[in-house]
Amino acid sequence: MTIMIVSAGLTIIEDKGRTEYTNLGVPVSGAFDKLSHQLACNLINEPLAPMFEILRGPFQLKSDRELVLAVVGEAKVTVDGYPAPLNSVFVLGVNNNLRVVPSSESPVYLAIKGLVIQRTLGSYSHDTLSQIGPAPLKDGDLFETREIDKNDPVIGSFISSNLKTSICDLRYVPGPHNFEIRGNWQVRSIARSGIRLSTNHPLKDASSSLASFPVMPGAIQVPPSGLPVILGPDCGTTGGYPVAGVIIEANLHKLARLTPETEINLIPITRQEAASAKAQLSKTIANSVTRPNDMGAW
Amino acid sequence: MTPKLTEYGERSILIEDIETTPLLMSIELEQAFPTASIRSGLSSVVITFPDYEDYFAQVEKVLAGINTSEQPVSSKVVEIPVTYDGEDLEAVAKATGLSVAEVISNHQDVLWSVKLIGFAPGFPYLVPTSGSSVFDSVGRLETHRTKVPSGAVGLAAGMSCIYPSVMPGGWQLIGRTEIVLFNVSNTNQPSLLNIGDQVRFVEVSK
Repeated sequence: MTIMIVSAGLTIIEDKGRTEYTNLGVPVSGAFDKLSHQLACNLINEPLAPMFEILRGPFQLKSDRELVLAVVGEAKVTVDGYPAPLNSVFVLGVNNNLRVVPSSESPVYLAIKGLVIQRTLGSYSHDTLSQIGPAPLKDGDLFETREIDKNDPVIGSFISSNLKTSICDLRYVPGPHNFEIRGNWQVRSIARSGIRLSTNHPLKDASSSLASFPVMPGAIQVPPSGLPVILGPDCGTTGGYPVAGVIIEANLHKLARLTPETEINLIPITRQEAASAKAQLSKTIANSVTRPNDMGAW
Repeated sequence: MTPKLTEYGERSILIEDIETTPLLMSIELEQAFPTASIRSGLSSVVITFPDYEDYFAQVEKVLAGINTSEQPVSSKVVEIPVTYDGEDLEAVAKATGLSVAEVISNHQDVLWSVKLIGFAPGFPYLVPTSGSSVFDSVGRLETHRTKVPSGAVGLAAGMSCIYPSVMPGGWQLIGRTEIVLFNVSNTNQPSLLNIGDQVRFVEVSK
């Protein structure tokens, strides 16, 4: 064995998602918080890495080999009881206990360099709807890693940009169906399949049902109740309810960070504005990681 | 009638009011936009481009060039063996004014066509190739079941379906099949059925 899961908490394996099979009804799935996942990929320098998405703690593992890893998100991280860093790459020693306890309801990402996961339909992602992909982790599960380089230049890398944004402001491109959804809504529940919203003023004329058409994560569906549902990564591939708008790609990660009772503000923007927000975020992500050898000569 | 194009998120266009089938339109769009992802609905198509750009005029031009009289028909007919013992057989008989035996024989007489694979992996929406059937008057259940068994064969809104795995569902159940509809280890062809295929249900002799 290499890695043993001592305590699984509620942990699944995710990567960028499974986009090639949506025409056969397979949900996209993939990391719920795409920003944290992307940052963790950049930290360990494995662009498409599968990693542990810890939804509930405590999560604990140990390994009979040294591991190069990074934890991204809001969490308390310890190694054999001593505090360990968040948002940076460090080496976990042989048989040391790594413990990760999320400090909020947002998912936390544990990226381990060289983690070996079996692919299903071209992706490492677990889909909670169809159960396609690697099974959720159980206590006692074993994982292997590929041979690692002890002088790997990623060791000591850290996230140097401040990527904090207001999670409550969610921008969307309106349409294809006409409903006025701008303004304040309360979050009722959060799941990887979707985020249910609530209000004292449900949308009127929401009873129509349409011939099923393709939907996507971020689509804001209007079911007959008039209380919108923002679809998450594990949403079905088609739906029969009107879609009032789609959350922009640069804001999708915020959905994973919402908590019940949060008041959100839906803000309509144009496709051009959405595209520039996406370009801006990509640029920030690309420049967010500092490597030890980037820091220059002293 | 010209198709209606609507913005759908930052990189997609929803194409509705189409005169041709979503399948034929998808094939034409795939040829014209090889880098785009094209997905079908029951009567619509969604095209997603790799990056934002204003593609409306280009898409409209491709759609205008489609010969709507040409309909691709898959020559593949897949036989699905069914045991007709579904919980809603009586209700379907009542809705159609047929006897249970007639429901069973009529379901086998219809040649079905796969209109869409959606909702869940490998879930086929089947429509009668002739356009209509005696099952057009069968509605969905008022309250959906939280757990429909794998292989269940259902009817709703003039369509038939097969549940590829256990999931919630609101179609009226008339039977079940043992056939595997979706196999994840078959990476090239995980779904037994594809859009455009034809399906014939055959009763398993008891």
